[in-house]
Amino acid sequence: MAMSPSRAFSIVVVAALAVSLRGAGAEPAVARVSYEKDVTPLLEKYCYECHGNGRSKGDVALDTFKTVADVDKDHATWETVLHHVRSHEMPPEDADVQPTQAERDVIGDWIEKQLFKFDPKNPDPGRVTIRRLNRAEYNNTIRDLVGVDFKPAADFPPDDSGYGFDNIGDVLSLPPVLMEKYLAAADKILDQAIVTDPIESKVQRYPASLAQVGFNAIGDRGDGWVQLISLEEDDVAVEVPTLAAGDYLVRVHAFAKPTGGAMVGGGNNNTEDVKGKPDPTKISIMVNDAFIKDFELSTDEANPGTYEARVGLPAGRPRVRAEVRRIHGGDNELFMLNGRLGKQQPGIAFVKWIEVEGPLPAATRRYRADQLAATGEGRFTPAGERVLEKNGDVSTTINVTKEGDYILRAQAYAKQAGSETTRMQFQVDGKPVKDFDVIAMANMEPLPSQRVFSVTLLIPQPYVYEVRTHLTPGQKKFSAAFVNEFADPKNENPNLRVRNLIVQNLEVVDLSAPVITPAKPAPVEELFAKYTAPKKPGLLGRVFGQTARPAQNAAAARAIVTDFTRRAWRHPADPAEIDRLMGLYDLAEKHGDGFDASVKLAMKAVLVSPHFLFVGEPPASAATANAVQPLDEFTLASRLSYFLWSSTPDDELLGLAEHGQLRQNLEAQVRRMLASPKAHALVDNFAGQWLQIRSLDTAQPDKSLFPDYDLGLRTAMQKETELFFENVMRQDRPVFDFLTADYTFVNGRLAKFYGLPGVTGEDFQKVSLADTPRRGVLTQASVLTLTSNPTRTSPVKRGKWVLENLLGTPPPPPPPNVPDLDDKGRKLTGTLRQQMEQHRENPNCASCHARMDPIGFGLENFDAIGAWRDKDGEAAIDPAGKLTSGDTFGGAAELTKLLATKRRAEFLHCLAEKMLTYALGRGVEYYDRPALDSIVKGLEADQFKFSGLVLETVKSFPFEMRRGENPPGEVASAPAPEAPAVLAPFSIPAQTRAARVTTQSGTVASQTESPVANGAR
Amino acid sequence: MSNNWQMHRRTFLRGLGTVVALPVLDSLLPTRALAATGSAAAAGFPKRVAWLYVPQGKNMADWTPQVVGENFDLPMILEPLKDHRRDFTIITGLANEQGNSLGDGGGDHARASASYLTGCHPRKTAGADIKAGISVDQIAANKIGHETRLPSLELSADGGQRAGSCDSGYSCAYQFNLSWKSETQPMNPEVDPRAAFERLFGDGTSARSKEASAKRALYNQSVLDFVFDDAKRLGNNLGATDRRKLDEYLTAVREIEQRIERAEKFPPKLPAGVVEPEMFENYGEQLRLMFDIMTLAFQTDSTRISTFIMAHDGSNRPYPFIGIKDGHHDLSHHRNDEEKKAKLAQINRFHVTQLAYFLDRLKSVKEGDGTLLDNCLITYGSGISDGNQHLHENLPILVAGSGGGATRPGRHVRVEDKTPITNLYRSMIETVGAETEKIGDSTGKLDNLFRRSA
Repeated sequence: MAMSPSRAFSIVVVAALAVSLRGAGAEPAVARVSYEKDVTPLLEKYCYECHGNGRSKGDVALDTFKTVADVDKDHATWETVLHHVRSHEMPPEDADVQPTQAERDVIGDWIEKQLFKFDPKNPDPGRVTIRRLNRAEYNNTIRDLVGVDFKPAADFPPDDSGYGFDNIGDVLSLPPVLMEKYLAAADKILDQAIVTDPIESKVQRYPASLAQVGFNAIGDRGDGWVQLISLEEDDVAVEVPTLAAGDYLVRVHAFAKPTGGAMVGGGNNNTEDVKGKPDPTKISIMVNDAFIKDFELSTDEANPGTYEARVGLPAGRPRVRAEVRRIHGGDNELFMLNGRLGKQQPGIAFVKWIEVEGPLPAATRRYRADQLAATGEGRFTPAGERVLEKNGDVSTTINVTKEGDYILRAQAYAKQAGSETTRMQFQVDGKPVKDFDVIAMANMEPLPSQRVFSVTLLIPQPYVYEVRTHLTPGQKKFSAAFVNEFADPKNENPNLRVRNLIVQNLEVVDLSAPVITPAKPAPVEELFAKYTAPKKPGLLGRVFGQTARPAQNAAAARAIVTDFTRRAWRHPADPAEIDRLMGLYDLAEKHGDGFDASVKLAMKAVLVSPHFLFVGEPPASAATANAVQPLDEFTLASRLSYFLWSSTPDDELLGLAEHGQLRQNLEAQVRRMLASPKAHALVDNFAGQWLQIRSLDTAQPDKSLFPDYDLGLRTAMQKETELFFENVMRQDRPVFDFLTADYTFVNGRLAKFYGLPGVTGEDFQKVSLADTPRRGVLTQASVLTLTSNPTRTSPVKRGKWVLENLLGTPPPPPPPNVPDLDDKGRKLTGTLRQQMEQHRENPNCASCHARMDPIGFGLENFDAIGAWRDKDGEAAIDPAGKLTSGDTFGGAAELTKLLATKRRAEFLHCLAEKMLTYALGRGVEYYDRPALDSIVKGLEADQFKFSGLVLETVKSFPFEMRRGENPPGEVASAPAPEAPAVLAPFSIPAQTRAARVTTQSGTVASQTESPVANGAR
Repeated sequence: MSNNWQMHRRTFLRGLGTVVALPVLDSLLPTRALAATGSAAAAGFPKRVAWLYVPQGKNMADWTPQVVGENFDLPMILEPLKDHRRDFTIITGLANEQGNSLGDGGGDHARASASYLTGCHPRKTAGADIKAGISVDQIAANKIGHETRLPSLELSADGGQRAGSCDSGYSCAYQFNLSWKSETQPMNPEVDPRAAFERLFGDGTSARSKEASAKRALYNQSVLDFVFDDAKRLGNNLGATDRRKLDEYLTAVREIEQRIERAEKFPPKLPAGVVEPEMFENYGEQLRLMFDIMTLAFQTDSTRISTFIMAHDGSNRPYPFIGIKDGHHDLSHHRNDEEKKAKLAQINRFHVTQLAYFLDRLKSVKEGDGTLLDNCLITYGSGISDGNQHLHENLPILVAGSGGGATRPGRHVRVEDKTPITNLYRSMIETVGAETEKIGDSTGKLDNLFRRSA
């Protein structure tokens, strides 16, 4: 945001506009319609029966609007009138008389042209309040800008939402606590990106009684010992702040009582699944979900043991855990008890503390699998893991500079099949170093007899495998190979059909290296390298203080700061601003900080500046504050990238904006951006909020009524809708697919739930729904669940969801003091439908419920978690219904078709409205109606393709233009002191102006073709 | 740092004891506060307020004295306080109505703690959209927090789960926090005594770390100067609505600046001989260590406002060191089983024993003619009375200290039934110079218990 040197390209346009604004009031309107003479009689004839003469259904009494002045005070009501009259929603279908189309047009045109003054020659782009980045945007921006991906905004306070989205400037506030978080986050981000102090090894000890403990753990028994049993895989977990990635020692102080363990519910005897002599109780040291090492525990309470493992920890806050796991491996993996996988361990473990020491004097470098070379058949998962389906390997080249000991590591897990365990072989230059039996399991699919309680079934359980070896200098290839491929596709247990090795990462630890400064993340490394003297590349990082030669320091620092600021602020900063930032660099240098640390202080200011934290566009100067003018190209780039990526513009966008070429290439850029993986943000943030599936995790279906519903099913439901939306987006399908698509995406679990044959396993695949009653999002289990009550379906909620999110005609909130269905005073009887019909006898409720309920009843064949049913209790379900418009349908599939045909216009408008709201970060207002109309029209011309929706939104007037506080044609009633009421478009300092105008000349020329310029003539 | 850890806690306590005995004590005390005008401290020593929370009520029959007035009896739970009976008031009849279901179904433990200091009914949610209300300690901190190094100090003896869902669909945030900075922002308490100690006295006393923290403060100030200036320039060209957004930013920057200034103005005042605490051995020691820290915080005038969750509401911690192996929460649902009630009373008594320790410590610090306790008002209590039925009225509430003579302790007082407990809080925070019109559901003050402040 902010006053970039490019702001002023619109000067020509503004000057022209100044003329047009003055003339706006005198513009002769279309044929004059009188409110009193022409409109009021129609209202009296068709509306007053419910909305006048003392009646005020839905809190609307139209006879109170005696004059135009009255009407002018309440645009919101008249927007609703407009909508209902145009869509034939009102008068209701059962009204005695209906207006003719011509009469509807009289009312509609009067509202549009004379009340809202829609003037195609002088449209109003609306005002977008500057807004701070929300949490998702902050995380993504930091990821793309600095290359640090640890979600620094995770502990920011939650963002408020408005108009259904959490990117609305008017509601996103900035309390002091958030400012404090911004400062701390800037430190954390930069401390991770630019390590300036030698990292000192230290010991951090965490008492178990203060740690996070597992679901079942009793906790501190009073003397600091926390007790754990393996039933639920109890753990003690601590988040350890690590300044640098590296090797650490983890110690756990613990002992075990070898018998007992019947801690849950009193009667659960752990020995029932342990045959013969009980095994010793073991504790596992884990990092996040990865298993590092097992220890047999001392059984002498007087002499507890301290158990130590060496682990590689990433920078950030890895979760170090001591866990009492169930017994895994081999047949145990298929052994289910109480819905949990593996055998229960005997005994109770007690943990007193966890200690982490490090980083150790060694250099550890981690390579994510997707950054490695891979051979053999296989694929990468979205998380970046390599799935080796056939024999093959993943490998990295390491440059060994001196002879010494090294630790080679891999974090991996496997799918099992056949009699052998999946085997992984470490090789150096193709020669075997060590073989490992990889028992760590991939996610498993429960068998028909197995119920799932523990989430560990559904997430992979990787282990870390390592070997210490001696290496001589030279280039070496370290590979982790899958060496015993096998398949048994006919096995009746779907978990035993293929043998796969899945490698998550490789690590190389140079034991002879001193503690080193970890490498900078790529974007920062590139930034520094660009402006500083080249340095010798090392294998595992860099030695201190070699970044730049002193003589070049200040110049190099300035170059780095200038470049970083431009990208962080999404536009170039004024030289004066760079001067001030360099003041911070000087300050740090004066205090004895090195080059990196001094640059870092300036970078911190950049990340806390409002230019970074706020998106939006202040006017080029106070003088033009109120003018309707095109967004400057940098602001356009930001608006575009936060719309499609929820992140900062990349170099290409900024480069185009700098050369004033973004507008010329808008369509190509939108298509490029939609094709980028970053466009997944639209799924998370737009679809997640439009369809409300973000709130699926707050739905709490009753466990006794819906035993199927668990984490696995819920996750699958959410994933289905996300994949479905992403498919429409990536395949550029017509938007009607949202309503009527006869395909969807399921994994084994969801397929079973839907009764679709032939899909097994965790992976999702596209399936046809042609032979089923399901169509589009409305019949997806996610939507059906989040619109239900815990114990039953809610036709009202479902109807309301459709009105709000698909048709754009949300019902008003219910009047106060209405008894709900469960009201005990007045017993309602019969099926849910009959009960609701009784409820609807209340005339206060009838008009709105007549709109909501029939839609909801059309979906009654789907229960409260979206499973198909023919009966509700004993009663057969009647899914047929009739909308207030009179259109009838026989069930869900017909309903969705009806929405896509007869109600198509409303659906398209609703979709355009949702997308425009999200794209702009403000609520849609009555004056946006022409823009919405044009988006819908354009979408039609684009064959309703998803990209058309996005493109038309981007090309719309409110997206590309801006204005200040007051709508066009109105003089500021109370001008701000800094903003002179008279437009003075040339108040920008002449010297900068000249420069700006020349660099932007191409744009100015093209702008003369814009509607604004035309209107100004 | 790790060196300090090796020292035993007893060293820490001994250090504290030494300091208390030193004649130079007055130098530790708030000379600045003495000089301040218009604040509660003007009268001499500053006044302090604290809230100590214990979970799921009491076995009320063993808590409530039979006799009202000065000659009140000490039932079994209160008996450990017999040496302090002139230093506290038992108040019977106060209620925490917002802890009731009010149509929200189960979740009394979550509501009890979330409403206890806020007087607000928390939103039932397991998600991120938590909402309760600003708590009394933060209302006070907003008014007088700028006068000390820390505006307030939040402590807890319960680590454990902080995110996700805990009691009947309520976010864990409701049970593991007592203090709320705003209706959506709980103040996460410090559970680690060492971390609490470091917040009060810095992470070391070496010259090097002092220099480093001075540099850090200078850098932060400079960064804030830069962005403040940035925001002001930016604001010049904005319309009124945008400017409001930027004003939020400027206000936030100002507040952080003031915090840094405050930290500089009030450098840590670690009494000589006191060292960082070692890890505690057991729960009782953990509680006493936190009380030591709160005593030090008040003694050095590092803060005047504190809260302490001795155990979170709903805690099922067993107390084997006093012979009770059952979980506390399980016992609280005793269904009138006499044996369980007796065990519950034992746990209640254990907590009161720790309170006695705290009062001992506060009384061991001399302030003028009196003691530190005289200048405190410490409310000890729970958001539930009868844990068996989850009742939120007739709460077991004890107020220790006299707030510098604002109230006369040594009584058992009965107030009108269902008097909001927030009325007590309004009176309490007046003593520290934080008058307020309303705290959550308050309907007034306890004027007949507290003298109106001057």
